[in-house]
Amino acid sequence: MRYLLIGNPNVGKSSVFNLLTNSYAHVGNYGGITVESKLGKFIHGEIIDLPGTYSVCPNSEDEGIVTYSLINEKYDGLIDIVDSTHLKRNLHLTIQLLELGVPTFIVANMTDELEYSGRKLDISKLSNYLKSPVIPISAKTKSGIEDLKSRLSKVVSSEALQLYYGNIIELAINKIMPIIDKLHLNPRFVAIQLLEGNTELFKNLEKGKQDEVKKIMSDTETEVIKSGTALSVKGAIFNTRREFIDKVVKESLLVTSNKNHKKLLNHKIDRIVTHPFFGLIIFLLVMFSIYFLTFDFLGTILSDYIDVFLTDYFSPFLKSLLLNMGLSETGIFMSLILDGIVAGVGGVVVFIPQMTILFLILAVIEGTGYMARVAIMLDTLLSKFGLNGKSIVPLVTGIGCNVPAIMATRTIADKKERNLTILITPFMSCSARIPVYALLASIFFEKHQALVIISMYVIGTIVALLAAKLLSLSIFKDKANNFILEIPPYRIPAFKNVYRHTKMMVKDFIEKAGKFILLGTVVLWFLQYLGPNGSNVNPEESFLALIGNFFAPLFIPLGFGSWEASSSLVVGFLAKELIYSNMIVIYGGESAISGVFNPVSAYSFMVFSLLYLPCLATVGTIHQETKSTKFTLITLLFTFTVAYIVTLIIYNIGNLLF
Amino acid sequence: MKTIFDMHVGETGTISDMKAIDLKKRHRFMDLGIAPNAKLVLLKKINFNNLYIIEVDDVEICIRQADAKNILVQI
Repeated sequence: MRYLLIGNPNVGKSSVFNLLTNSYAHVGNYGGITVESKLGKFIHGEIIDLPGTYSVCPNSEDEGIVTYSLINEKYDGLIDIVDSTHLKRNLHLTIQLLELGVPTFIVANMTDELEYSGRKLDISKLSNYLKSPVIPISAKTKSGIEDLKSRLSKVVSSEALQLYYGNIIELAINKIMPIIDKLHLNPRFVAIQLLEGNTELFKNLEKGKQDEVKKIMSDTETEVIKSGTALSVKGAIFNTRREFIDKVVKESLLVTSNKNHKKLLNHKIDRIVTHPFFGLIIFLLVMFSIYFLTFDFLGTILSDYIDVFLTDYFSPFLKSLLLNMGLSETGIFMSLILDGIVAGVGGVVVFIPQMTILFLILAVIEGTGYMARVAIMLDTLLSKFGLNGKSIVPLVTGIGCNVPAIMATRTIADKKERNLTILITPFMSCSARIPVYALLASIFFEKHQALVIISMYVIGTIVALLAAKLLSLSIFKDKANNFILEIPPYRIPAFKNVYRHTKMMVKDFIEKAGKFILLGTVVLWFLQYLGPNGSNVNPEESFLALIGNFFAPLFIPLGFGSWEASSSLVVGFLAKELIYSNMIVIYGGESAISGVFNPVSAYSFMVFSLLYLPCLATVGTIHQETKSTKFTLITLLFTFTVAYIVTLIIYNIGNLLF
Repeated sequence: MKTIFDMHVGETGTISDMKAIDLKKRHRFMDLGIAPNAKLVLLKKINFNNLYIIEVDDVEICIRQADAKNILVQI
């Protein structure tokens, strides 16, 4: 059996996926957090988790994936997750799926919350109206999950739900149906979707048929408007569905108590959290606690333990082991392993606790529904910079890693608005940049380490906002400026979801460290070991120095025009952690670094490392998301130029002051 | 004719027209249940009245003031 898992955003779809499949999916209490489909295995086969959508008919890039999967994926049935506390809104999608005529299990989630809010579902009535099985569950209390699992062992064939859309539209459906006979989906479903303006399905028609359909669509649109039944065809279809839903909900949703406890509590919390003054204070406190826990307190202590373990125990142990194996103490392999791999990779491994804590906190915050409140609270401020409240999710996620941050921009419906957010996200300081900050801050700013590191985040945020302002006044002048957001109720994040999400992010990081950074450090070591004149050369005569020297003059005005610094930046493009690894490997330790930088040039090097270019993985993601080589190149050129100018200013001001 | 902008907090109304909003955005609103004939309650105005929080079909939705001015309601 193979199922597609479909549902509105924020209905606990990914939670159900996690409960059914025992595999990872990113779960959050914020609309549109599942940004790409994920496959999971369960006892009766496979489940494909699709991004949350309000309608089969796509309104944003994210929602196009559902139609795409309905056409191209192989599946035996659908699992439609509905939030039973928001049944009226959720059933719009359900109806569209039922019109497809594919076996569908309607899973009514959050029944515990429904009861808490004083209402109850009549499952058999609902099931009768929809002509499909309805299974009540609660992903939170896990009730009904076992029942759901056993029901999924076989599909029951079902006939397509058929609503009467009125004369004008029924006529149009009948005209379109014979045209699209080649698509393997239910023709009535396809016709209705085309009339609603489903661009993904439209793309799948042959050119000649597209013109025919287009003609019918515009004729129908004119007639609907003339008849005065609705403002558009989509509106008329929507009205019919709503009438049907009103009837269904009225019959099958029973009110048992008039007091909605949940709502009252939500409103009480929101009064403080979205308050223009207290809300901002809370937001700043939350951000401050994230940094405090990650960099100053817990994370740093754990990182120190790993560092002590690596340098005092692991390295000597490995060295004696290698000596016992017959390697010479001054030989090439000893140096490659100890000075290259252990120093380079180890230096990055040290930061795993800090990153784990950062990802953990972000996952908890995401799960509570607080992010939506932050988006609301900051919308007015962000709109002044040409962004909207939703941009805050990519920007905050960017603190963890730019790659998921770029993917999170998919929830922004307007393309230009989305591209603007993509362009500025790399300025948000990701966790891979922490090692180089920590290294330089500990050498040059011993007493104010935390402050110096926090200043990097502040500079990154300010540059991102100013860049957004600049761009929205120039090349993005004609972009739409929208903000409409569903406010999810507060929820206590499920431990399992937080755990899995954090585990996935940390695993990604370790895998990256394992492959990219291991490979990077080995290549690096060889580049500095080999030179045009042979092997084991002086570092200044190595290939690495050659590359570094080529770029070095460019960085003289910024205060770090040495080949060591510029070669670090070059390899840092592969992965930002490598800036740190490279410096450790070629300078051969912290004491050497203190001789070549001064506090001002060290600070400007940190600023430049923060801003200069997104890493290779991020560049790849930008290209994949925008599908534009031109835009990707513009991003590289733009971030580099901005970094250069900002660093130049900071370096010169620094020299004047100190 | 009143718009959401003119409603006071706690008031209930039925959307009568939203032609002033462009088609694409109107469809976005429709997905969230904001469409002609929908019943809504204005829950509160926040961010110095820049944002309007309304409830439609038991869902709380946040919209901007500019859009609130473009949605006509029958009280």
